[in-house]
Amino acid sequence: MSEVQEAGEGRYLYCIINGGVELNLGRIGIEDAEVYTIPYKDVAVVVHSCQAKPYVSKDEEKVKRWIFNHNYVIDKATELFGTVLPFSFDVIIKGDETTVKDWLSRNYEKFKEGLEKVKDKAEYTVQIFCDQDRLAEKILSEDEELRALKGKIEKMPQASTYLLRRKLELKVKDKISAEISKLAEEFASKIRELVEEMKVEETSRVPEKYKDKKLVVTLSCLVHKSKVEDLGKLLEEINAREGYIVRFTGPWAPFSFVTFKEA
Amino acid sequence: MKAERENDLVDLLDKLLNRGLVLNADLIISVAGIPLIGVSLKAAIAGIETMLEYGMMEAWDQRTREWYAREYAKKGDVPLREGEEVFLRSFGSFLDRRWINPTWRPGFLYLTNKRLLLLRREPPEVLLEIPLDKMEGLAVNKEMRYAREREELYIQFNCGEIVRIHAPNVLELKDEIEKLVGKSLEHNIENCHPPLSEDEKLLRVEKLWYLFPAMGILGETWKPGRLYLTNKRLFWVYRVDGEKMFEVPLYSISNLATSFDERKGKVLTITFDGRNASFSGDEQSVDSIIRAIEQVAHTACSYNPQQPK
Repeated sequence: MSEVQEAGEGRYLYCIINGGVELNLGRIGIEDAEVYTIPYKDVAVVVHSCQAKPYVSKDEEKVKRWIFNHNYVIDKATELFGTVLPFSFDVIIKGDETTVKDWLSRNYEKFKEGLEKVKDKAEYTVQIFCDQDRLAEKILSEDEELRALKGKIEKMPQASTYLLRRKLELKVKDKISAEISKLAEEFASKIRELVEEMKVEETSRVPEKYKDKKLVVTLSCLVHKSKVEDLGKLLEEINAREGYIVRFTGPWAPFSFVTFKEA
Repeated sequence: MKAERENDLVDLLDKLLNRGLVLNADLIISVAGIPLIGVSLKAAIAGIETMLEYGMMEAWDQRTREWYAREYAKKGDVPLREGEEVFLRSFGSFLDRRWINPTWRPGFLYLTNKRLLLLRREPPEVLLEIPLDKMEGLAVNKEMRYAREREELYIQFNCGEIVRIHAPNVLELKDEIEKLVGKSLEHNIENCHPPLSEDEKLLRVEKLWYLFPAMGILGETWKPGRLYLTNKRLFWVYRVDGEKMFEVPLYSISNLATSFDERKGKVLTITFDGRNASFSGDEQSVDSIIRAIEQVAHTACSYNPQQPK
C-alpha cells in the first residue's frame, strides 16, 4: 500500500486570523499551493489543501524554501488582518473543510482569547552579545589588584610566570562573568518595563557572524506597536556600551507567545 | 536602533520549528514530520551535523519522543520495548574492561525511561545496557584523557560494578537519569559495597591507600581505595573505578607489620604466600583493620617498625 493512498485528505495550517472572511490568497503557499481561509464566526484559519501527511525531505534547499514560504504566508495574512496566531511548520489537520470548521468551532474561545492578547503587538527577538576580549581589557584597566598582578608578571622572566598568568586569567574570567550576569539582569529588567511579555530563551541559534562573540542572553518579547521605538532606543544604549553588541530582530508573528491545548 | 528582519534562516528555524501552534488530537497528524525535518535541517544550516551526532545532547521533548517511538523504533534502530521512550540521545563511549587492555568504545547513548543504552550502528551492537532500576550511584569525576582533563560519569550498578561513561555533557546525563529514577544517586558510589558471596559477611571497611606494585615502566604508586575484610578474605578496591586490585584469602595471611611513612602516615604491611602488600592511612583506620583481621584470622601481629621499601 502506498503512503499516498493511506494518507487521505488534509489541510496544512498557517495561522489563525482575526476576521471571519472567506478569502482566496492565491498560489502563495508551500509548493505553490493555493492558500485560502476557512472561517468560523469572526475568526478564520489560513490553510492550503494537501495530503494528510507531513512535508518531509532530505533536500535542504527544498526544506528551506518551505520554511520561508510558510513564514511568507503568515506575513501576508498579518498584512491583511493584523497580528495572527502562527502555526509551527508542518502542522496538518487530517480531514476536509468540515473537519477544520468543526475543530475551529470547538476551539473558538481560545483562539479569540489568543488573538485578543496579541492584538497590535508583535514578537521581537533581542540577543545581547559581548566581546570577551574587550571586556577583559576593560576589566584589566579598571581593577587595581589585577593591574598590579599583571605588572608583576611582566617584570618576571617569561618561563616562571605560568602559574601567575593562569591565576590572572582565571581572575579576569571570574570578573567578566560577574559583570555579565549583573548587566544581564539590569538589561532584562529595563527591557521588561517596555514589553507586554518577555521570555528568556534557554536555547537559541546564533547567526554565523556572531559566532565569535559570547551570547549573554536571548529574549523573546511581545511588544505593543507604540513601544517598539522606545525599545529600540533602550537597545541602542546597551549597544553603545563598551564590549556589548545587541541584535534586534522583528517584527515576527508571535511564535513564542502562542500556546494551545486541544479542546 | 531599528529591529530588522534579515530574513535569516536561523531566526525562522528557531521560530517555525520550535515554536508556534501545534496540535495534538488524534485526528491530526501534525507532529509526525517535525522532528525529522527539524533536526536534519537545523543541523545542516548551522553546519553542526557533527555536533548533533557527536557533540550535542538533545533533550527530547514529548513530541519528539512520541515521534521517535513510532518512526524509528519500528525500524529497529533502537531496540525499544513496550512503553519505552527515549529521553536523551547523544554520542558517548564507555570503558570496556572485558579486554586485556581496557578500551573506550564509542557509540550512541540512549537514555530511556527504562535503561541506559550504548549502541553501535555499524555493525549494530548493544555495547552496554544498564537498567535504571539497577543503578545505585552516580558520580561525575574529572579524568585525564590524552593529556586533557574531561568529565566522566561513573555509574555503579548491580551491587558494585562500576562503568565509566564519557559523553559531551555528563552533568546533563546525570541530571536526566536522576529525574527518571526520581531521586538523587549522587555520592552513593561511596556507600555501596562490592558483591560478596552468599555465606560471606562483611566485617570491616577502611579507606586506605594501596601501594600498587611496580608494573612495566611504572614504579610503585600509592592508589586510593578501600580495604574490605570479610570472614573469608581481604580485598582492596580502587576508588576511582571500583576495580579489585588486591585479594587474599584469610588463611594465606602470615604476618601483619606496621611502620610509618612520612607522606602516607601509618603503613600496614601484610605478608601472605611469601609476598607483601602495603596499605596506608590515618592511624585509626589502620589500627582498626588490624584489630579486625587479628580477631578473625587469629594471626599473630608483630609491631616491629619496618622501613618502607
